[in-house]
Amino acid sequence: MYIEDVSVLLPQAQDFSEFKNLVLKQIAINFTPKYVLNDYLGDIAVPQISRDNPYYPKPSDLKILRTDTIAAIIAASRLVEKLDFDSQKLQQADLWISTGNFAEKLLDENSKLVKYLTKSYEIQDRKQRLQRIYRVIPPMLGLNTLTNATESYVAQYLGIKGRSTTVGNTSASSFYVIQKAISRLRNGSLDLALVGGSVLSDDAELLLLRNYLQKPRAITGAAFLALTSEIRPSTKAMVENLFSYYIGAMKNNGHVSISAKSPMLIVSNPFNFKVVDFKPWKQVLRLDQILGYAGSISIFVMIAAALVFFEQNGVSSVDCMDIDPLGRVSFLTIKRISNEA
Amino acid sequence: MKRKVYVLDYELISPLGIGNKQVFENIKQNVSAVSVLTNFYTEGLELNIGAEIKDDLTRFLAPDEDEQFKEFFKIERKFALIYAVYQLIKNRVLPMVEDLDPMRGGVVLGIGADCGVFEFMERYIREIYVEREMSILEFKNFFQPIDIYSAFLGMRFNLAAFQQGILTACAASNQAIGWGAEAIADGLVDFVVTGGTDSIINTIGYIAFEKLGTLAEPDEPLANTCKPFDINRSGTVAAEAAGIVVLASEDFVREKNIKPRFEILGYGSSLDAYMITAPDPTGDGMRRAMESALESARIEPSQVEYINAHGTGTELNDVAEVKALNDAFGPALEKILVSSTKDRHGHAIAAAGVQEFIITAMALENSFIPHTRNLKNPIQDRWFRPLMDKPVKKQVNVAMNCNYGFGGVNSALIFKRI
Repeated sequence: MYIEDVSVLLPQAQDFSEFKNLVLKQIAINFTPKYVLNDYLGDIAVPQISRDNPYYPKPSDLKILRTDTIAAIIAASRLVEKLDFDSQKLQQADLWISTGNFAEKLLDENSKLVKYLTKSYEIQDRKQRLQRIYRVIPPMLGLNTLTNATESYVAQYLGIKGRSTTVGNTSASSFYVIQKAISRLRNGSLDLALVGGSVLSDDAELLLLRNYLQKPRAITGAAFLALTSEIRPSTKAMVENLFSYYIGAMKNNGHVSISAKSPMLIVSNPFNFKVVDFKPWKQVLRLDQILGYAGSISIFVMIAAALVFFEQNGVSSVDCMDIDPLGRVSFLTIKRISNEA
Repeated sequence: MKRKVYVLDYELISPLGIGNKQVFENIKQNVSAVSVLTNFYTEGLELNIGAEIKDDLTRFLAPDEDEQFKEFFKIERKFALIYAVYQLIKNRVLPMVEDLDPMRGGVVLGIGADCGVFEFMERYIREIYVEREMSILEFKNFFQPIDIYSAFLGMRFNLAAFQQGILTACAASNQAIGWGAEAIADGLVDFVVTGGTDSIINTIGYIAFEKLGTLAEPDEPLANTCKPFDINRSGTVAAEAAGIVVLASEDFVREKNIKPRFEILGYGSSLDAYMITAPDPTGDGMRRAMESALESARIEPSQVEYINAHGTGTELNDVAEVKALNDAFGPALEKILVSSTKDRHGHAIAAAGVQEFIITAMALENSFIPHTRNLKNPIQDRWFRPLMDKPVKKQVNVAMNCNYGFGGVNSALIFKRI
């Protein structure tokens, strides 16, 4: 199945052009620590999205929207505009979404709630304590933490009405949605699938975990792919060799042995690398060392990186592998399609 | 479906009971589980009713689980619920997967949102930053546990191909069953453990839902509070549940010589693309999900005999759903049995789909179609004749289960008794 194009919106790259420069330079961005409580918290990065952006959501939605969802709306809108699919085709498209965490801005916007919950332990009268908790819970909390917010808002802003779901919440979920879209495209059920998602790392809990796990830098952002069943003049690449498995459910629990399909391998996070044998590949790119841990959009940004190498370095095939914090291995190969073909 | 997909088994825990038998006995006895909540402190709240599982689930906790696991079980209600279902069904599933290549099996569960995460965060931030009694190593197991539920079942049943959490609110576990069925139909795997787990029976989750204005005003008696499809409905009832449905391919059934109980005929989903806070009032998205399921099943609307509708009892859902039913089924709707069972067990959000799928399956197997218990004055719209007043006792073979989520995510599953 074919990749028409990609769209990214990350803290270090507002669009694919900036992403390309970033990857080619292979430089690690200096993250600005947003919150420094103490040694347990690492650095995080959130994209600075201008409200002048033509795709920025309408003000009435901003009470509900999280930063990751805003990034997703913009990234998906840009992709759709660039590809110029007719509106009927877009309306009938599938929308497969991968997302991460849902509790945003714990340490600022929702800090009242957390602080109050902490403080409420000091109140001896249970009834009084509960009434105070009631007062401090934001009226939109249920929607602020809605797990399918990215899916629903992207559908609403782009008018997509086809089949869909949201899968979460680690990097493996970005593989599952690609696999699902390809399965649907292969069996002839549709022509176009928008596959992508958002990741939200503005979360103390996540920061704590990441601190434990070798301090990977966390990002908030979004990335989307347009997948089609047929090659068009604008088609960038094709996807092959998809497979995934869970180390914890294998009887030979442990070492991961995968044969190389391409000379180059891109990996996107630092989890469970000790179990992987990298010898089969001539080159291995650690994308997390450039971007930080991209969580639920990991595979999408790996594919975006593959397209960068196709454009610039004459590379024709790249393997992408991910192992998530639970030990789920995802693998796929991206092959370049030249416009002349 | 390109390849046949069968339902081999299922198990449910619900406010109506622990295990299939108890749940369905209470369905037959017309019991409602709606009552004043006792699982968390509610004194002083204006609303304090719901449908909760009152049994102590720690009786399911195996003594040989490690200490971190036991701690997680005690604080994470959704995990406790799915673990309890696992304990109820494991002795039936393990012989099925014995000698199965792990790559032929997967797990996909519908999982609810974590409003409750704020409660946990408060606790951990306090413990880590203030008391410093909890190690980061212990902490990692409590980190946003969405993928842990399916990974747990994948590990216990040796199902390696995928372990997914579907996160589409009230449509989640119906979509999970649909995703699992399509994974088999597309030839990705031969065996899927699916279902879901959710609970909003906690301080933060309950208050968050109450503030969204979705919960019903209490009625007298409390059992009559939720009134799906009634012109006097005022909202839904907060609840919790968990269930597992076991799916397999025709190849698997033949290899293992297992007699399947149902065949999944079709699955459909759609997006409203309308607004996040309300369903499309025309019911267009719901209609497209139902039509997509009918098309996938390759059957005519008139071949569906029973529809377990989403029927939340909220103003917006029920009126849109009735329009969608009329538009999708046309005059055939008049002869189809339609009911909602949410007035008995409440709205289990992400576990609503699996709970209602299993209740529907039991209804078909027992030739007992439950009526909408609290429906007295139904919405009047064209061919809509909801089942009310009393159940129907007759053999029914083909049913549809529908669930629609916040944000306009719609799903419909059609299955047939074998």
